[in-house]
Amino acid sequence: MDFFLAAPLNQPTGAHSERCGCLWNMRRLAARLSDFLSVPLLFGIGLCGSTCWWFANATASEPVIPLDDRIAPLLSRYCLDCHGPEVQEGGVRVDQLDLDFVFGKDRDTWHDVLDVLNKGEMPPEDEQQPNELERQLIVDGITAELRSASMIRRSTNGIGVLRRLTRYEYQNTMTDLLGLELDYASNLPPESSSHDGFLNNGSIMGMSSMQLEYYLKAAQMGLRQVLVDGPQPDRIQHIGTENVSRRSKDSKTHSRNIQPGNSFWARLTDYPTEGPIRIRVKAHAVIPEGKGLPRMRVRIGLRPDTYVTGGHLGQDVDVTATADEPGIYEFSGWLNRFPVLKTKANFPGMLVNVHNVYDDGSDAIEVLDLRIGEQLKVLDDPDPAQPWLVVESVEVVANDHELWPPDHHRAILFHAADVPQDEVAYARAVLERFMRRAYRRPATDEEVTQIVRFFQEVRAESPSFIESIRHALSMVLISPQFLYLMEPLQDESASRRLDAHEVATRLSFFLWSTMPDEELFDLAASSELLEPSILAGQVRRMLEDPKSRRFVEQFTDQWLDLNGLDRVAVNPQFYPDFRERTKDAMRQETRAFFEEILRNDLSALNFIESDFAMLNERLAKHYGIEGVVGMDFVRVALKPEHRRGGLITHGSMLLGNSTGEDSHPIDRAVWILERLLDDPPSPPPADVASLDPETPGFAKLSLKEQMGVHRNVPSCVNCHLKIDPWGIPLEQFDATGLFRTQSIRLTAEKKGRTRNRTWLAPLDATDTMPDGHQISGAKELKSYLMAERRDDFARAMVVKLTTYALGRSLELMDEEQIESLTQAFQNRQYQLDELILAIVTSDLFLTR
Amino acid sequence: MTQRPWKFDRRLFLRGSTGVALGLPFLDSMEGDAFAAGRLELPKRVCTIYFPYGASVPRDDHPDRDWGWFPVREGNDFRFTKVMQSLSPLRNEVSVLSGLSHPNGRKIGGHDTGDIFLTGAPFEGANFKNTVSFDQVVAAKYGNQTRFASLALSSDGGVGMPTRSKTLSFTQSGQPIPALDKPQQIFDRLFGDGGSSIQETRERLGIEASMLDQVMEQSKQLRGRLGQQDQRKYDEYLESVRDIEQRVARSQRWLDLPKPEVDAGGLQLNASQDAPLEYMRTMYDLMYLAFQTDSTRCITYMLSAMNGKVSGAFSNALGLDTQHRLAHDAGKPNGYINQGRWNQCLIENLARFLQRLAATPEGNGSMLDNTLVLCGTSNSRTHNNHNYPLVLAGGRSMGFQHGQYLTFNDGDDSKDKPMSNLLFTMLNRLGAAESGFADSTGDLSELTT
Repeated sequence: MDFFLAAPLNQPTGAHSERCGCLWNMRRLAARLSDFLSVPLLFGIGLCGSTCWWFANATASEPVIPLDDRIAPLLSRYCLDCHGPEVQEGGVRVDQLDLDFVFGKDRDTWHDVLDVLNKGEMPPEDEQQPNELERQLIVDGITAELRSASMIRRSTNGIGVLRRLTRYEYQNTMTDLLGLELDYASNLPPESSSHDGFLNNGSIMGMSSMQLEYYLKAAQMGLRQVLVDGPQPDRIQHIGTENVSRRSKDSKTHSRNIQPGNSFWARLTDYPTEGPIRIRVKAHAVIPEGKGLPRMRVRIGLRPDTYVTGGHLGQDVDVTATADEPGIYEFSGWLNRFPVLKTKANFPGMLVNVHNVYDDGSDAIEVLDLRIGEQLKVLDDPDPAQPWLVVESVEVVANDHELWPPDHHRAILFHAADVPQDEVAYARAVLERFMRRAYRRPATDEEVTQIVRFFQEVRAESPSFIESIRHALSMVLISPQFLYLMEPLQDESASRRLDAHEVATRLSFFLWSTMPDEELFDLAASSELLEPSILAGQVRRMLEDPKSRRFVEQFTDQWLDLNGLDRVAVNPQFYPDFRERTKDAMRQETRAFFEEILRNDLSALNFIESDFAMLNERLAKHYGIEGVVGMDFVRVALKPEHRRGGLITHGSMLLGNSTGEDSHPIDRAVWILERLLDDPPSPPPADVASLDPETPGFAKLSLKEQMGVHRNVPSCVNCHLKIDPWGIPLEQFDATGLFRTQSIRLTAEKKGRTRNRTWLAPLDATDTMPDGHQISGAKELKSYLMAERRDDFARAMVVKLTTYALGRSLELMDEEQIESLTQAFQNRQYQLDELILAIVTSDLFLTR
Repeated sequence: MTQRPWKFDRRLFLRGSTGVALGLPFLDSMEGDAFAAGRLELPKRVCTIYFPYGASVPRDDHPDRDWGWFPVREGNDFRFTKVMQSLSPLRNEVSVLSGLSHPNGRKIGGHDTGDIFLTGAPFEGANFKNTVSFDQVVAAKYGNQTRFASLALSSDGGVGMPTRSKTLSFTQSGQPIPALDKPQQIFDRLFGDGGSSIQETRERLGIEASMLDQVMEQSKQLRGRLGQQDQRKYDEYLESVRDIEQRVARSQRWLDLPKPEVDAGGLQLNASQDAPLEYMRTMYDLMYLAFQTDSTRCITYMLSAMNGKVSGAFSNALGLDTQHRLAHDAGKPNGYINQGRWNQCLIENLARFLQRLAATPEGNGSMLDNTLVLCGTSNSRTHNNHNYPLVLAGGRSMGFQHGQYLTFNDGDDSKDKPMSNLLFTMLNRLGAAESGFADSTGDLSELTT
C-alpha cells in the first residue's frame, strides 16, 4: 500500500477558499513537473528566489505524493474490502493503482474511480458510506490530480508550438501581400477554438491536404488577377436611371424614393465577370423630423436565376446630400468576389442593388435580406415618416484601369512594360522581393534558388513568362515559411531571444491580424525594432492605425465568446417582439465597449462595472433606454434604473448564454468563471443522469429551485455549489437580456387540439457564494466582483490578452511573468494599452 | 482475367427524376452483362450519417412510446413507431439495432462522444488522440478506384475541436479530416472542371506535381531546423503535402475521363444552414450524386455535431427547440413527442436517400444492394453513453439481411456489445478488414447471411 506510507506535503491548511486549493495544486504540479522534465533546474532560472514560495517545500528529490494523507485513509476505509488485497471486484485493486497520473498505466482507472464516486455508484448502497465531506475530499483530490496531469501532458516548456496563420489572418495577409482584396479564405475549413477559447492557438490548428489544396487554389486565383497579361480590357460603362424589376422579362419600373428596407435595382446586360468595378450612386436624402440619416449599401451579383445573395461592395455610407445638391457616392471592389452569372440563364444580366438599410429599431422598418421569398412591401408607396434614400442614377464602370498593367501588377513585377533580356536574373529579383514579404524576413539564397529553379523548369515548357512566374509565386504561397509563423528553435530546452523580424511578425499578427507593413519591415531590417523605445513607439502607432480594429474585433469575439449569439435561437413564442437583427447590435455593443475602453485609456475595471454603455438606437430601444438616435454606437451615460453597466449585463453575454427561451444560469456562471476570472469549473462527469423533471410540481418551481433538485443529487452538489451562485443573480435577466421580475413558461394544453399557453413563474436571484457572501441580483454580483475578486479579474485579463498575443496556452512556467504583468497592470490603473505595451516588451513576447 | 479498375462510359446520360442530367456510370449494357456474368466485381460503398445527443427513448410503458426511436416488439415481430414510419416501404432493406456502444465512449463526457463514433478510440482526458475512422479503412482499400478516395461532409464544416468534432473522418494517424459544408463547394469539387480543357488541366497538373515535389524537398530540409515539438506539428504539413501529391497523381490518372457532367438545375446549391430542411435534402442529393457518378465509394456526413453552432438549431425548422434542449427535456411533458418529431424528420430524410438508392438499378439489383448505409448517434438518452440508436440499411450483395430489430444487450445497458463489432462486420463484408477493427471483439453474425 505504497501511497499510504508516503510522506505528506506540507500543504497550506486553511478552510478559506478555492484560491488556496489552487495554489496548493500549483505547488504539487511544480513537484510533479520537476520529476517529469529532463531539466529540473528550469524552475530555478527565473522562479526561485523570494517569489518561489509555492515551490519552496518541494524539491526534485522529494518523493512525489499524488494523493495526500487525508485521502488515502478514506480510500482505504471505504474501498479496500472489495478492491484490496483479498478481493478485487471487477478486477480493480485500489491500493495498487499506479500513482503516476501523467503517464502511468492506470490513468483510465483513476477516471473510472472518479466517475463512480461522482455518480454515487460506489461504495454500493449496502456498504458503509463516506459522509459528504469525505466524499468531497476524495473527489476534489482525484479531480485536482487528473487536471494537473492533463496540464503536464499539454506542457511545451513554455515555448508553445509552431503555428500557422488562422483563416482570417490568411485572408488579411494575402490581401496585403498581393495588394488586392479578393476572397482567398472562404473555402478553407472553419477554425476551432482552443480549450481556453482562442482561435490562434498553434496546438489546436491542424493542417490537411484539402486545406493545402485550397491554399494553392487561392494563390493561383489571386495571382491570375494580380498579374495581368495581354492588352488592357475594354472599359465598360452603364448608367441606370430607372428602378427596374428584378426579373428581366418584367418591364415594370418602380419608385426611386427608397424607404428603409427597400432597394433601387439597376441591371446590366453586358458586363465582365472579373476585374475591377466601381459604382457611383447619385442620390440625396429626405429626412422627416427626428429621424436619422438614411444609410446606403450597395450589393452586386444577386443572381436573378437562383437568388444567390450578392455581397457588399465597399462600406455602407450615411447619405447627407439634399435634393438641391445631390451627392455622388462611390463604391469599388473586384468582381471576382461576387456570384455573377457567367453562363446563359433564364434571367440573364447582372443586378446592382442600392439598399436603404436605415434601422431605428422600430418594427415600422423591416430590413429584408434579399433572400428567396423576400417581398418588397410598399415599394411604390414609401412611408413619409421614414427617411428616404432618393436614387437619381447608378453608374457602373467596369475594367476601369488607370494604369496598364495596374499597380498591384507593378508592385510585384517592377519592370512592368516588358520583361528584361536576362529573364532568370529578373525572376530572381522579383522572387527575392516577394519572398521577403511573404516569409516576413529576407529569404536565404538557397530558398530563392529553389524557387528560381522551379521557375526555370516551368519556363522551359511554357511560352509565357507571366504564367511561369505565377507558378513560381504560387509555390512560395504554399511553402511552410509563408503558411506558418516560423520561429525555429532547434534546442527546445533553452529559450532564445527572437530576432527583429520575428518580433515584427508577432507584433503585426497580434495587433493587426496580418503581415507587417513596410515601416515594420524597415525597422526589423535595421534591428532598431528591438530597442525598447522604438518598439513602444510602434505599438502606439499600430494601435492608432485603423487595422487595429481587427484586434478589437478578434480579441473581443474570442475572449468573450461572442459567437454564443449565433448558437442560440430566440424562440418567438416566448419573445414575439425580438428581432434577429438585435443580436448583431449586441455583438457590436460589446466590441464598441472594448474599443471605447481601449482608445480612451479607461480602466479595464469598467468591464466589471461602468457608468456608461455603448449603444445605438436599436439596442437602446431594446434595453428601454431613451434618447439614443441613429445606427452608430455612441457613449451613453447610465442611470441606476437602467440596470446596465459592465460586461455581465451585455445582451451578448445574457443571450449567448441562454436557451433562447429562458436564462441558462449554469452557462452564464461558467462564462463568468472562464472569461472574467480564468477559473473554469471541472467538466461534468461522464454519463451523468439529467434532471428529473418528473419530480412532482417541477414545472411550477423557479429555475433556481429546479436546479436545487439537481443539487440534491450527491454527485452534482459539489460542483454546483461552486458554480450556481455566479449565475443565479443574473436570473433578473431573461434570454434576450432584458430585466424581469418573473420568468416566462410555456405549457402545451390539450383542449380539443393542443395549443401553447405562456404563463409567468416566480424567479429567485439570490444565492450564496462558496465564501459565504450572499448575493442578490446583478448589481450585487458586480459589487462582489469589484470588492472580492478584483485581483482575480486583473490576472484573468492579463492571462487572456497574453494568451492571444502569444498564440499559445499559458503554462506553469509563465506564472511569475503573469504575476508581474498583473502587478504592472494594476499599478497602471488597469489600462489596456499599458498592458499591451507591457506584454509586448515582456520576455514572454520577445523570447521563445 | 486481370483485375481492371472499374470504369464507366462517360458518354451515357440519363435524365433523372429531378431533371438532373447524369452521367450514369454503371449501366453500360456491355459491362452490365459482365457483372451479371460475375466477371466484374460490383462496387462496394459505404455511407455513415451521425446526429448528436441521442434519440427519443421513452420506457416501454410510457404513454408516448409511439414517439420513441426504437420499434415496438410484438411477439416475435415488431412494428415501427411514428419515428420510423417513413421506412415502412423499405422495411426489408433496413435493420434497427440496439445494445451497441463504444466501451471507450462510456468513460468520457456525455457530449464528448461524437469524435469517436467511427473510431472507437480511447479518448481520455487531455490526450485527445484519435485513431483511424472506419470509413478511412474503406477508403484505403477502394480509394484508388474512384476520383475521390472519400468524402467527408458535415453541416458545421471543418474539424471542430477535440470532443466537439465537426467531422466523422480521421486519417490513418488519427488527424481529423476537414468536412465540407457548403453545397456549392461540394458540387464544384465533385463535378466542376473550372472551365479548362483536358490539355490545360494536364499541363497544370504536371506543374503542380513538380511543385509539390520540390516543396516537399525543401520542407524536409527545413524540418531539421525545428525542435521536436515543432516537428510533430510540422509533420502534419508534410503529411498533407504527401497526400496532395498523391491526389494530383490520381487526378492525372483520371484526366482522360472528364468529371461527370451533372446539371445543377434540380439542386439547391445555394441552400444554406439557415434553411435546414432544404439544406439537409441538398446534402443528401449531393451524396446520392457522388455515389451515382462513382466519384467516391465512401462518404461520412455529420448531419449535426455536439455543440454544432449552426446544426444544433436545425430542429428549430420544425418549430421545436434546439437538439440539445430537446434531448435534455425529453422527460418533461411532451418531451418524447418533441424529440421524436425531430427524429422522425431525420429518418424521413434518410428514407428518401435510401429510396433513391433502391430505385437506381445496378448490376442485377439496385445501388442500395451495393451500398451500406449506417445512421445513428452516440448517446441513447442525453449524456447516456450506452445503447446507441442505430439504423443499418443496404448491402444485400455483401450478404446483409434486413427487416430485423436486433437487441445486442438483452435490454440491459451494462451488457452492451462494442459498437466496433458492428463496424468490423461492415468492414469485413466490404472486404476491407479481416481480423478486427479498433476494440472489436467479434462480428455480429445476426446481420449477415
